[in-house]
Amino acid sequence: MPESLLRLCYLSSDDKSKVLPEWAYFFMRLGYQLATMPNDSYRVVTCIAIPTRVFACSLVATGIVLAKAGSQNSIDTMQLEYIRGLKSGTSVYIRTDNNKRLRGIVKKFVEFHGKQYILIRTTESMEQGFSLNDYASRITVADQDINLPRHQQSGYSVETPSKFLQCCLGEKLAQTYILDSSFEALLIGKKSVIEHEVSSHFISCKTSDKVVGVTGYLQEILRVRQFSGANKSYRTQCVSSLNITPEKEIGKQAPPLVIFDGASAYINLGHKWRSAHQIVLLDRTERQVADAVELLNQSYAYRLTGTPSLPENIPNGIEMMVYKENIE
Amino acid sequence: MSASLFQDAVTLYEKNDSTVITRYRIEHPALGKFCISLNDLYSRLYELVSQDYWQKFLIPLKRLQFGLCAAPFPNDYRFKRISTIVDEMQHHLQFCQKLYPDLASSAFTVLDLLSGILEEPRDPLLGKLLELTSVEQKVAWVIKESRLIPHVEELVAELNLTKLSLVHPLQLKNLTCYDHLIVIGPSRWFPESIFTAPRASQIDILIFDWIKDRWKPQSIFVSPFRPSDSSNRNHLAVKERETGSRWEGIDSESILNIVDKTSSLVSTLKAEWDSDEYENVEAVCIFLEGDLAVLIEANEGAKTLIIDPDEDSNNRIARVFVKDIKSGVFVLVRTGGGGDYIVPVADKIMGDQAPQAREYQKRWKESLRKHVKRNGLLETSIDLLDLGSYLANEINVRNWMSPRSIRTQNYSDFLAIMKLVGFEGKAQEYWSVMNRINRAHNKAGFKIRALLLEQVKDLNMEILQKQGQMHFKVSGDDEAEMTAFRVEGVLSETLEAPYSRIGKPFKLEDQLWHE
Repeated sequence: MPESLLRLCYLSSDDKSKVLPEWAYFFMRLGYQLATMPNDSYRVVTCIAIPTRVFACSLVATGIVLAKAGSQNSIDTMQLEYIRGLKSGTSVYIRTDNNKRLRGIVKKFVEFHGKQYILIRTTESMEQGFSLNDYASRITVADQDINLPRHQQSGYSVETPSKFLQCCLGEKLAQTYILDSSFEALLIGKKSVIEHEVSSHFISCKTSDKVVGVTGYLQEILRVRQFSGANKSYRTQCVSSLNITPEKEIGKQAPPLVIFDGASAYINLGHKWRSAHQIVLLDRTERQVADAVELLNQSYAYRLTGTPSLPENIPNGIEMMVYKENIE
Repeated sequence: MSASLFQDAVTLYEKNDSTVITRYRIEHPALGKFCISLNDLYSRLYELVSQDYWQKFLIPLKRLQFGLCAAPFPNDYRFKRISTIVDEMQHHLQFCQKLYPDLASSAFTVLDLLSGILEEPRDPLLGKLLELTSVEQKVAWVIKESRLIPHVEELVAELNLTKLSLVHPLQLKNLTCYDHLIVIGPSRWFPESIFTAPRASQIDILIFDWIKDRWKPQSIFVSPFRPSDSSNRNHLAVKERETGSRWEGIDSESILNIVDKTSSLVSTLKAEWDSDEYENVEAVCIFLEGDLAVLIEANEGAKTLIIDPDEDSNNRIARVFVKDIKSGVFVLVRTGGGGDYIVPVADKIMGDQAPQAREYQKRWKESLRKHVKRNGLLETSIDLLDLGSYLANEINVRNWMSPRSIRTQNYSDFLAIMKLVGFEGKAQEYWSVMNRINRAHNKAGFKIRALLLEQVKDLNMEILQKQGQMHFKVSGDDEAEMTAFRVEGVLSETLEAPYSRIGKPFKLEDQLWHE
């Protein structure tokens, strides 16, 4: 398990930093391992029965994004494909080399000397070309149509990483982490409950001298698009389990992993995103848990052979079933 | 900011790490003999069970039996209830010897054995509860039904157990943890999660030794993942503390099921059926806690208001399709005034125009109903199709006649009805009035939901779960008082019911409408 996960602590009721318990590491380790699985000809379905849903989804998601954060040097092919698929006229934000944010409208894609470029109109009369390989992760689709200025933009300064994030990821990685968008996981559940959990409850990160903990929120790591200010870069997205058309909210890019926070999330939206790995968190106290288990047990009957390697230690009170499923 | 949520989760997992479940059997020969004799009589009655005469005898006794097995009561209350029922049932059986000579002695034996309980001054259930309840620990007694809790609260008030809580099983969904949970009654009566997602490291199940209960924890997944080092201990097991007595056990379900809900419902409806079949509407029956039921009109697309305690505060109040109502949610029913909670609020929105608009609505529906009575549903549908309707069929015509529906979806269907009943010249005027009502109903729906949301937003769901029902005022007067009732089940088939009965909760066994 990476050092960044081991540094995380929670604040006890007397406000002291304490090492995370075994179950919390289990969720993060699980997310970490699933994040590194290929999105290939099969997907992995991980069903977990737990005594409470509290923090399970956000910790699994933390494991996923931190696993991906370490491998950001390579180009995120899914993000690249997503940007390549944008239609002419799409409103976007681009982060420039000097960490300024420009607004623009996609014009077209061109190839020049064997390299692909995206042409973006940044003023009423000017277009700029950005290398797709270099800029794909720095382009974010705007929530609403934008108006272009007449004159050249100087751009807005973009945010700097918090001490907490720097503690978790290291200074260098934290800087790029908050500026680039990459859709690592989709969280489906009770949005306001998840938001409250990740944005209102402090956790802490032990600094290297292990004396003082720096406090922050899981949202700083998860960067859930729907909980951030508009047009900020993001790492995960979250939709309500009652949303019958989630694509409208998250855009066309399919998530590589979907975390279903609760039985109703899986029952309502388990059929979507066929290629995404699934993590189904079932709070045993939920009303519809038996219905979800029945669906999952039926789906298990059609599994592919072989079991993916997953955490070896499952804490007491947690039950898990894992299988591979054909996605074709 | 609060750091306690994570701490609460840590505590909960700690409880899960070391849970010990013990099933204690309790001896109470006098109560056991009564319960077994009642069960024997029930079997002997066979088909006679559903007869009104025997229902009136059995239901009070079964309700008493359940109560005595499900909760401890104050001695005075317990003795008074038993004595009253014995007296009433002896009176009920006065002609039994003549009516049912083969069964009379068994019935009298049941009452004799019930009287025998009065000779036992102590309550072994309470004795065991007190023996297991430590004054130092945070203990909760888990009681199957909300309606029993106030009686136990009365008892506990005199016991000086300051750390004791009385909880309904559905309260054990949140993060509140205890040192010790004492579950009163067989495990089958309770959600499995009480034992598999425990909120205490010590759980005791108290059960009389003549009740069958063999539940053991099992995996919920068909093939649970077993790590190679098998470090995940399947630690949950049930320790048994048996008594020396040997009984032919009674199924826990038979004690729980006091009323045969479906047959009671059918007989209720038969008695209430409107002689005019066109006054009946298709309805879904929702069974509520405490052997109550409510009928809700089951038109395609019909929706009703619910409170879903599992949802977050923004989505707790929802208007859901009637077919989507599930046990565990709270259905909102108008308890002040008539059955339909939208109408009075919509009328307020329409103001002075409401009486005239309602008169128009009543007039065309009555005219259509008269036509249907004369010619039947099929012929009316054909007539309407001939007059330009697109959607006329027997089901739709029945819906259009219903006072609950306001107008047809399309004007062409409405115009056909107007032609049929002789209002063709005023069709546009009627359509415009019906649109006005429709808009008022939509506004009323939003208003009621918003008012309820305001009240429910900060409501502690634990309190709602504990009480099982709650009253709400939605527009400042009694006419719009609503009650949220916990749903225990939904009858899978729809049935025909008089329109006047829609939306009014009623008690199943005594066939009295609940006010």
